[in-house]
Amino acid sequence: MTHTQEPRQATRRHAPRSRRTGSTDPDHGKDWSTWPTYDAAELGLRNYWYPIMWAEQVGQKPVPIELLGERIVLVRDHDEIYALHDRCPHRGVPLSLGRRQYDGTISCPYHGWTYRLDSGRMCAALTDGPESPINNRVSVSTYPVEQRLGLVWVYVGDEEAPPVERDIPRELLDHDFVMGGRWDIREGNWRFAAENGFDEGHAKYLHNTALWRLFKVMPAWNVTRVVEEDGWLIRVQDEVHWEAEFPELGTWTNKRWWKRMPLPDAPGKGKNINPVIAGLNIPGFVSFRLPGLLRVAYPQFIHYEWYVPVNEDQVRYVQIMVRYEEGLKAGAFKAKYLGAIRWLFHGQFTGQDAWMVDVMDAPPEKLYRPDLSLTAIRRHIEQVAPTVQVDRTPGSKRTRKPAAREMS
Amino acid sequence: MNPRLVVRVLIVLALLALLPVVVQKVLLRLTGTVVREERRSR
Repeated sequence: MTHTQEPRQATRRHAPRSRRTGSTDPDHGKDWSTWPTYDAAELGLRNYWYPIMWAEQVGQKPVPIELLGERIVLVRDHDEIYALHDRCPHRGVPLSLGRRQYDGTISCPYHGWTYRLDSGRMCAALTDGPESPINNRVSVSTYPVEQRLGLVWVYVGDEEAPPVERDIPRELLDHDFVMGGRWDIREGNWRFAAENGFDEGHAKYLHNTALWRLFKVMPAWNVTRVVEEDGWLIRVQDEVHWEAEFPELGTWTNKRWWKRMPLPDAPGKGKNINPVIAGLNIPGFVSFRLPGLLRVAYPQFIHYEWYVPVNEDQVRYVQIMVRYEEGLKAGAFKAKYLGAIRWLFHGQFTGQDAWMVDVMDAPPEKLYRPDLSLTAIRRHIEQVAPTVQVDRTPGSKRTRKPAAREMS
Repeated sequence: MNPRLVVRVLIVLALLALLPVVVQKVLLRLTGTVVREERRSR
């Protein structure tokens, strides 16, 4: 299966729509009106860089993508990759279907309107002659693009793009490492995916059947709090319980005779910690930061996953695993990643998450104690107050404006 | 030394050297998977 295919036209509508009743009911589980910015962020957050796909996957042939509900075409011209709005203003035909008629340009397949990749300016309407009065008077939007970690990063925003490094964890910029990764388009809103990643309670139950955890015990339940450090929300385990007695039901535990004993409850604790990871001084394994990045730091490696909004109903799920090793150990990691991790952790394990995100139907919802990790994200978004994406599709019937909804 | 043998050996060595690249390209094509090293300090 190729992963360069773009998402099918979304036909489903996930549950967030069900809360568009404008209710002011104080019952917080009924809708997300307690977190209006979060509630409005169905299409994602503007003014951030987002990883899209591997740079090697963008060639001379234009690649259509959807990002925050915006249709974008990626094109490579020599070493540079460009991103343009994927719609010829003439008759609305996707430029991604077009031809590379001349160096540094892309031409609409319909009438040959030819756009410069760097500026988006239509420099020649090929079927109207060199003196066409419309030449150089039309343009399409362009998007800042960078290549880092082997990935293409696209900035969607209204402000001047900051350095892409702002949106990449520092430990991925300052050190040598070896990494393996994959991306795919998954069903479900990006907020469900992000919440699922940071969800305190689910791994102990959902993932206890994952092959990745076949030989490792997971706790039965934890007492958790969330702290904020340098823009990261970090889950800190105050108590870890490996088994519990439920009256009239029996014992609940993930312990099995064939499973190894638990991980330390923070990446800096325990023995045999990679010095780079120990140096991060993270008080808990799992961290989250905007616009939608999860970091799970184990003693010897770190797993990252980005939840990149495609549209209301789909999320681009980019996952990488990083090990701070060189030489033979780096080679061994590559083999292990291709032979096992890609299929077990970045396959079946996160596939279980994809399953839940796809079938989730909330709000309404009834939260329990471990869901403080979810509400921490929501509260964080309200505090940061990022710019929320609204539907910018020309002629779209999906005209959502958060302010208007709040007034209803 | 037989020049034809030398040429054959060189071709085999070149193919072996290309093998990791080919494997990676195939994996990327079929599974969207990449493994790579990042070097900052040199």
